[in-house]
Amino acid sequence: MLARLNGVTKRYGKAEGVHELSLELYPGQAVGLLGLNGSGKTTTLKLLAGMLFPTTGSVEVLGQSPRESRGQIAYLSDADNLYAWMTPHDAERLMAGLYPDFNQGRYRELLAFLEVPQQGYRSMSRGQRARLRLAMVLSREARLFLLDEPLSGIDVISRDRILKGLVREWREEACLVLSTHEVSEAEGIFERVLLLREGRLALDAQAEDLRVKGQSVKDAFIEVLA
Amino acid sequence: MNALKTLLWLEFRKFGVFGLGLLLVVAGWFFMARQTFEWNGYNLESAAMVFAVTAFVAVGGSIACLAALMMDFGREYRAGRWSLLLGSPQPGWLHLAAKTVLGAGVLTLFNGGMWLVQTFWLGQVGVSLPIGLGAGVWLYLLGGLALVVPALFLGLWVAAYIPGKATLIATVIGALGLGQVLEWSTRLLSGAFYKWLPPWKLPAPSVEQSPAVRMQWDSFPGLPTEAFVILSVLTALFFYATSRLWQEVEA
Repeated sequence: MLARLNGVTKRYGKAEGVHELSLELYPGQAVGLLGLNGSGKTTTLKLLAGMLFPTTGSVEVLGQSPRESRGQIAYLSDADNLYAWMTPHDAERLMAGLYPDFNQGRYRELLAFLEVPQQGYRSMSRGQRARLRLAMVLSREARLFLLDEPLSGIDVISRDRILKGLVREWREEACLVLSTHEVSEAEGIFERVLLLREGRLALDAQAEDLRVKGQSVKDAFIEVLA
Repeated sequence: MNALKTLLWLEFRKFGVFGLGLLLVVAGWFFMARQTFEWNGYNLESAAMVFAVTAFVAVGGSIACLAALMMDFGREYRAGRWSLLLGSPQPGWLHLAAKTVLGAGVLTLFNGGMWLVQTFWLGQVGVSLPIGLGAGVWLYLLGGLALVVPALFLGLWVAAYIPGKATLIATVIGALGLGQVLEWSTRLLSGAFYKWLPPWKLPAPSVEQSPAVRMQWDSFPGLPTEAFVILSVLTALFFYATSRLWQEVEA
């Protein structure tokens, strides 16, 4: 097992981000974390990344607290959070300096695959920015990849190509958790899907099991919401 | 080492323009003073005024630099950049060290420039009072220690825990009572100053034309060294507390 949330509740004042959430993540898995807006996807990813501390319950990554395992966690925030003056070259310098597991060869390959232009972040479109941030995070040799809505702003055709390319060559030793509210996007891509509803885990299923039952991810999602 | 170099580069890219702005202030003050004041070694009041203006510009520029440093914490937090910085396996103190080194570097260049203008141009030609290197360094260290690290600490605190309505009331009461607290602290501490350590005697300015001023200067015992020791200890404590706080910040 790579990571575990054990009965985790996270409160923001009176509001609850997630409620008594328990789940386990394993190496080699590509997991789709689905849910409507405000269902607790970002909170779940931030808890796993050590960016938030649980109000109650515990979080473990590789047997330690997420802050202690930071070197093994690659987290992509949904925020548009790079410096405006940064070019892809600057981003490479920043990542190579701060993250010892950053693979510069892979970064350059990803820049080409994701078609990121060599220009300043300020002058990039929203989709191009998302691609650059994705390349930065995926170029790490981490064990747990947590991507929060990484494809938002990217056009539909590219999204499909990127997602398939990403999951198809997923590494055996690492686990990928990707959050999205575009349920149809998860169809035929992820081997495991987690559905969150109002901060609670409403469904944890293998995509294969859903297929055997003749159910699509979208059907399962609608059933859970109903 | 690589991580510190990267963080210094990052801070430089953020504050480079600001640092350049401060150096332009030095150049501006130099040219303004050169155009405005004439040599007048006998007018001590005028010389003291020019000295006071130089000190005021230096302190103002330094405070602006520290405010920029402090606000940078809040800006990074609001822009969600901390997820990028906090996510790295680098320890919290390294991020703070980079900010401190860059901030101290900018302040040293700025204040060093002001000192050069003050001593080697205004002071030498009798327009203002020259200040010796030892005294300049001492004053700079004292002012720097008193300002830089508390600014870092407050910046991180503000960024990490943005006050809500309840804490806002406490903040207002605290701010209103700050003057009184400072007065009490000063009284308490001034009782301790000059007691344990020898005072730091400042070199006298070149005011041979006025023996009375020279006598007054000589009778001044110097600045208390206790303040320097206390501030150094506080700096170490603040730096440690800030590093610990960094580990507890939520992004």
